[in-house]
Amino acid sequence: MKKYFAYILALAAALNFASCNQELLETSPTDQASGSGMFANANAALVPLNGIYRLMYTQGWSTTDNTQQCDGLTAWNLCADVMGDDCVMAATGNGWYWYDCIYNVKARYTSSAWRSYDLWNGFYKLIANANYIIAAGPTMEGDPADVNYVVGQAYAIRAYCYHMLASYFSRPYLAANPADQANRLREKCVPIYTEPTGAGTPGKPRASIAAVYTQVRKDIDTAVIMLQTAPKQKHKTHIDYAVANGLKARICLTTGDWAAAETAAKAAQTGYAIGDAATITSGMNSLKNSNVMWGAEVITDQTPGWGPILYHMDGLSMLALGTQNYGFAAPKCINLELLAKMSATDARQAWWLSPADAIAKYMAADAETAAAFTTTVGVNYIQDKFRFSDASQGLGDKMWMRVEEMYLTEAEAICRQGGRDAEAQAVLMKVMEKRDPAYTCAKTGTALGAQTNNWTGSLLEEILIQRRIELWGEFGRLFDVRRLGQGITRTAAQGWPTDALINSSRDINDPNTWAWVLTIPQAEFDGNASLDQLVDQNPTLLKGQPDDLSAIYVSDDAE
Amino acid sequence: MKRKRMFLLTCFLSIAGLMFAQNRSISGTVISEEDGQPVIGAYVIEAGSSNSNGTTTDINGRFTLNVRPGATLHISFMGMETVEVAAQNGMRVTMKNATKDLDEVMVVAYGTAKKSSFTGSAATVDNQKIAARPIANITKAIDGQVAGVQATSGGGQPGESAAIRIRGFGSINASSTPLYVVDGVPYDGNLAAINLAAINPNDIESMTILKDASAGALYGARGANGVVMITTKKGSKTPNVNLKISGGSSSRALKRYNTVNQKEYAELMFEALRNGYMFNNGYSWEDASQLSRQNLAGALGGEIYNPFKNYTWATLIDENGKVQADAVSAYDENWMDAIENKNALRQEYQLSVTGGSETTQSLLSLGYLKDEGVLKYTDFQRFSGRLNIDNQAKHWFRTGLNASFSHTIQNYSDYDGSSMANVWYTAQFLAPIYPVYTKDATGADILDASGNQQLDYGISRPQMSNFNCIGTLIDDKFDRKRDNFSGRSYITLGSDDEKAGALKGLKLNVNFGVDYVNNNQMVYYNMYHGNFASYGGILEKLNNRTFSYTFNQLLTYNRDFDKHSIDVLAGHEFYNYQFNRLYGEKSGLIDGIYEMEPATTTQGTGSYQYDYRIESYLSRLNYNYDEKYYASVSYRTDASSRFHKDYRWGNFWSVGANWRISQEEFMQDLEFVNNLAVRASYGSQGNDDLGTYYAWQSFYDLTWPNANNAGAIVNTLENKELSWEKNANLNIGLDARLFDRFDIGLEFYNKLTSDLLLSYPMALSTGFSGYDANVGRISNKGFEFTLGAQLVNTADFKWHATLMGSVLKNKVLELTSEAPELNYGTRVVKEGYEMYTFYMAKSAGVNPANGEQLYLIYEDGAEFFAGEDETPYIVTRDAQGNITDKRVAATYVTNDYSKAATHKWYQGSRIPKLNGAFNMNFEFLKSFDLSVNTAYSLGGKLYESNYRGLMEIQYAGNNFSKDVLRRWQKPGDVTDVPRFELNGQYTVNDRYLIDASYLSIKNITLGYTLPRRLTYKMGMANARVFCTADNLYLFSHLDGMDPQYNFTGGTDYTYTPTKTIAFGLDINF
Repeated sequence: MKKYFAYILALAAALNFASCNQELLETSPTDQASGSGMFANANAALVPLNGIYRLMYTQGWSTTDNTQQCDGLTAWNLCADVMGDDCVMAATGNGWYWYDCIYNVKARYTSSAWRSYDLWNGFYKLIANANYIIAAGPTMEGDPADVNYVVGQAYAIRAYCYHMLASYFSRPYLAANPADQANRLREKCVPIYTEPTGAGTPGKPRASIAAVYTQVRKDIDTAVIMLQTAPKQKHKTHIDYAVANGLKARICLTTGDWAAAETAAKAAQTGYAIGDAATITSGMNSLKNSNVMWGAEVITDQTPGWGPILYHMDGLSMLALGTQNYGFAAPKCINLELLAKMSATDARQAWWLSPADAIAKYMAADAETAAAFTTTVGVNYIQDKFRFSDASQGLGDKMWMRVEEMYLTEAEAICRQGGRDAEAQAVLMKVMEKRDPAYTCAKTGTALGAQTNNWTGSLLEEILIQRRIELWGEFGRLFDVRRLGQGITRTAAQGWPTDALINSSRDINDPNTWAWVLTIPQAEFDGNASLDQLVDQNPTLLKGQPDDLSAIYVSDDAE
Repeated sequence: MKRKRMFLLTCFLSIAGLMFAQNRSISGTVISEEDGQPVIGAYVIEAGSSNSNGTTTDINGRFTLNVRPGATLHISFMGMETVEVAAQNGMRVTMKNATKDLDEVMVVAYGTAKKSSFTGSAATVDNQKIAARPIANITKAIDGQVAGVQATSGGGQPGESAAIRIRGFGSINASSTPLYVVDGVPYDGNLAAINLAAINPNDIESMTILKDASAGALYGARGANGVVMITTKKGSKTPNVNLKISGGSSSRALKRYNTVNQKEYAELMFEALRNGYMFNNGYSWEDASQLSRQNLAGALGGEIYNPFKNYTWATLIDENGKVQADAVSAYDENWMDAIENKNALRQEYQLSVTGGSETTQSLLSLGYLKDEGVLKYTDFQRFSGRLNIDNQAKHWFRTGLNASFSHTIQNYSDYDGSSMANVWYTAQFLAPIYPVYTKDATGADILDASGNQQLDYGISRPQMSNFNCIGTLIDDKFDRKRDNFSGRSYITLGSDDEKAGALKGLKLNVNFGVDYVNNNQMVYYNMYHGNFASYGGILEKLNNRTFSYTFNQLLTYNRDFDKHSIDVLAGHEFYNYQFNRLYGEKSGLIDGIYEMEPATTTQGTGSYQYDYRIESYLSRLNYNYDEKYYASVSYRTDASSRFHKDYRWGNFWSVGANWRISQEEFMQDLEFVNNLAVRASYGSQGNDDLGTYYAWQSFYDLTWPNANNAGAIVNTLENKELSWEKNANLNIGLDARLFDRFDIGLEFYNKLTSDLLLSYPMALSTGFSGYDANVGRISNKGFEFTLGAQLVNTADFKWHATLMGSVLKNKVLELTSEAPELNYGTRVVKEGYEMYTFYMAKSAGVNPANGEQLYLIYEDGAEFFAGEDETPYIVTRDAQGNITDKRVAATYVTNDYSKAATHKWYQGSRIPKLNGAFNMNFEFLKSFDLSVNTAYSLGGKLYESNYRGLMEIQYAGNNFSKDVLRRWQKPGDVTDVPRFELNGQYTVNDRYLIDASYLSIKNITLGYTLPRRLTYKMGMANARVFCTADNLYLFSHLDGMDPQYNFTGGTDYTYTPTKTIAFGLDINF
């Protein structure tokens, strides 16, 4: 009778009702690592630093949809290009970048699939990652030079991100009318975070444009100082001393610090050579070229599966693979008026092909494709500047900074300071002698037209014309337009299709326009108690001024 | 020694011979009580006979059998109550039809319970309601069967599951999916609903839905969303062979969206361009019309896409904006026709065999299913086998194994959303002027060398240019091959036999259950066209391995003492879940080889593993006095690896009572009351399913290498205090059966979810949109009723009807002080409102002067108060925040879409006012059976984004809804559809909030059971032929819309639900 009771007890004892090993409940994933070990020393901290750079050229992470047009830095630059006057989108295609081009994104701020969310989330995610590295700087072990290499880059990244946020979410730093400058600097810009984010870190209010640029200057200066004593660039994505100076030069142009821009641009040139005609017409897809200062190396298993950015730019070279991509359906073309400013002997003529040339070069054997192309491109000159290095793998490096920009910046900065036109001409010539053997420039002065297509014949305008041609499709033309105090007038003669002639509905001919200022994404208001949507949202009206501008000024700005 | 054995054997044989010698032959007749007819083919077995001595009755119900003197006969027949009777020559045995047992035994948490004694709330869906349905995934059989359960349609992809919600919506970021328990062991964690396609519905004996804490608290950390207990069929000692064959076909269950024809489309596009030029570019009517005619060809892709070959695009539209009256269309091809499998076949074969002895019961089941989808190239196949053996070797030793293996193959379409290759977007909504197959200048087909039509890849087509979604449907391949193994084994020591003496009722149960799923997935993008043609095609292979086991040791004690009866359970349990993924992707493929070996370039590889573990202690006490008063108490504590060790343990408990009033003395005079009971329970359950298995930790994601340099980005923020979501659950129920004819079940519940697992919102500018925290409270209160009536009950006609319904009041009680409102696009979760309340602009019609969309807005700064959704107030507050003045805000009409975007209104949610089911069962002439199963839902709204896409066209080339024909066209028109533009700027408004009410005929099944005389002659015990129609018809407010797409009230470009009509044969031998 009792025997099986004994069995029960024996088995129960064997199974041991007591707890199992508590360590079994300590689990960790295999594709993630805990944050604490990341910053122990300068070598380890390269991992989170490289993560930031990877974000800068990965498609789609900054948004929940429309991922093809959210390709990181290159996409954010192209967005500013198609919003400007020189990068003409000849057709709608399937809509990528088109809504940027026709200024139809501001009202989409409640969606996490559109530009407002993409930019805001993108730059702030980069900033948050940089803030962890900066905060770890004082305790990071390793050779001080190596620590400077990592932390200096984090400062530069932060400076660059706030500068870009200001470029998209507030009106230009420089008011078109100097009398408005004081008020302009008091306008609301974006929240500033300089501490690492923890669970529950509260949202900050929008700081003024002045405060944001105070932070930007502080950060970029810190970066330049730290990187001066750091090792040389370990990878083209990395911001070294030269690239940090290049970024500083951009910032100084934006804020009108001409002398500082000149110094920084010069410092940035060291070690790089202006590309010759062969280099610049080889597809602009290799970081190995000696003119490339900063860019992303795209390797086979890191291309996005769907539509890398060259898919949107390079409409032609893929035809050889029997594929018409988005660059074919929505060709990126040059403003015909700007094209006419380029001499026939300019090597950069090869960057844009007339419809006939494009057909001859790429569609000679395919009449059907040629006919479709003719319908789409019309009279426009399609770009052939940016090409896949290997279209079949979606390969092609991305260029974020070339030394030519630094010479053009130096020339502009010198010209702006007055009385040094000959020096400015000489610097301009350094670029142009590599572009156009017949080129000469004896222009003087700094007069600019009210619109970017009102021509004055000044030296400054000439430098800018060459800048527009040289940096077409890669720099973000709107960033320049914003700082020049000019308006944009798009015309059919420039090659714009009817639907993109938005002058009558968007006041982009006014340099004070709000059309160039994106709306803040709804998600920010949803999580930021320091913001009031009614007060803090940028005006969404596209034509004309909002009724009441008082809301957009910071009432008392301590900085 | 040897001799001794021989002697024993000889003795034994002599005794056996003696026994046989004493046997005598008896004969008898078995008749049915109901109609006095003989029962043909009943099993007659001598009870306790060592060699299963038995026979079956013949066509006259007669049997003859040699039995020992004083033997007992065990007479059984399917559908009738088993009779045990002393053997007598010339005996006449009457068998009763098995009626629904009032005291049916339900499978509940860690055991079984009599329905009458149960203190909790549970409902059972029995095998008959499941087996009749032509479904591949049992989750699709739950809708319309149980009050208080809501289900989605689950789409039409064969094998896919429907989602289930039990008693409302209590979680925001944590899972709301119920826990699936198969044969006593939780099934595969949160992937259960998907993996349930591995289980053959024919193998299922019953499903029990546990709705309240008393029923579900023993599942502790995973029970908060309710529990679906699935019990597979058990072995039996009665030999039976069952063969079931069915075949049928599937088609769309929903009508298509109503879209315009070619002429209407051309006119609308002309008008859209003209309006654009007029209203956006400032042209006059004449100039705009002129420009529009001129640009129509460009906008629509050139003359090749003009189906009216006797006009050009520029001349097609006449003065009045109409297509020329004599325009003739050369082709009119429908893309949906081209992708639909018009003859989607379904076939299913099922064989199950039972048999055994007094000590061993077994079941063997084999099944094959092939279910084709209504979308071409999609299907689902399942090969399944199950073996179930229980063995009572000794009265104190019982053991068993229930093992099932299934192999499933699913061919599916991987595309979703608005990707061009998603046929549910592109083929469904492409404008009617675009042909599927290439056309020449006259509109005739361009045939290839073999005379076949060729797909049109449309270089100049404005939508889907250089693409044909049917081409990708044909040439891209996606499949999932799953190998599933489920094993449930147990050993029970202990006995209910008197032989155990004082230890009677004490048992130790050790259970080990394992679930293993190996999922081999292939994603193949072809090399000829589509997104990866330039790569020479891309092939991705994924291997996902899921392995989980549950190991528990349970000590139970079950004993009656006079009128007291107790049942105690105590135990320990450990759950371990492991997920491994390995994947690789290569490009540069070789045609026809769906393997990576010959491919040229590696595009990516990777692998990772997830682990999840729970350790638990559990206990329960059930007490019953005289079958009148029942009480139960349960307690369980769980430690989940998802949480930090200091916050890992959670306590879950319940108390419940049941008073069977009808058992009381004072009720005995009321003979019409067959049963009357009231129940009440209260308890607490938990939810740890936050999606991630590592919720509390801060991590760097290591999958961000920068070219060849390792890279990582911060992914999550640490929150050590993260812990369980808790669910306090009150249930009060009443059950009654009156006049032996009417069944009434009423239940009230109040569920309060607190410490919600929520992504605590942070400013996006901090780099994070939130971090996981326990915040907020949500209440779900509801009332459920189930009314059953045997309306007619005669020998030749029986009619039973069941009406059930549930009313749910859902309310978000508290979120965070910083963010009392969480925004989900068109929906919000806001304190005082229902979860996922629609929050959007309000349409104020169309301006008759110019056709603009108008919006109703209110004064700036107005506030809304919960319960008064429609009324904005202007509120004045004092320094402390107290309201000092409150007046109704002024409202006005505006055309300013940006103002409308900041003046939104709260506009109700998807949650229905009342939902439930109405089911009827009929039996005629003892041979025919008919069941009708309908589900209804009243109230609630959904945001029809598909319909919006047909009303507000984003791309030239998309089709329009017929409703666009009501648009504003000229000054003075009064309508609700604004003037037509491409890419018009509108703020999302309530024009697309559609009443989500529906009535769905879920299933009608008609069966005919062949007369027993006939089946007997054919050597069968029983045979039934049936016809079943599943998902037969849906009545809703908009053609094309799936009101059961999801629980938050949306629609998407997804696989349309299907209806299936099947015929079958069910034979028992």
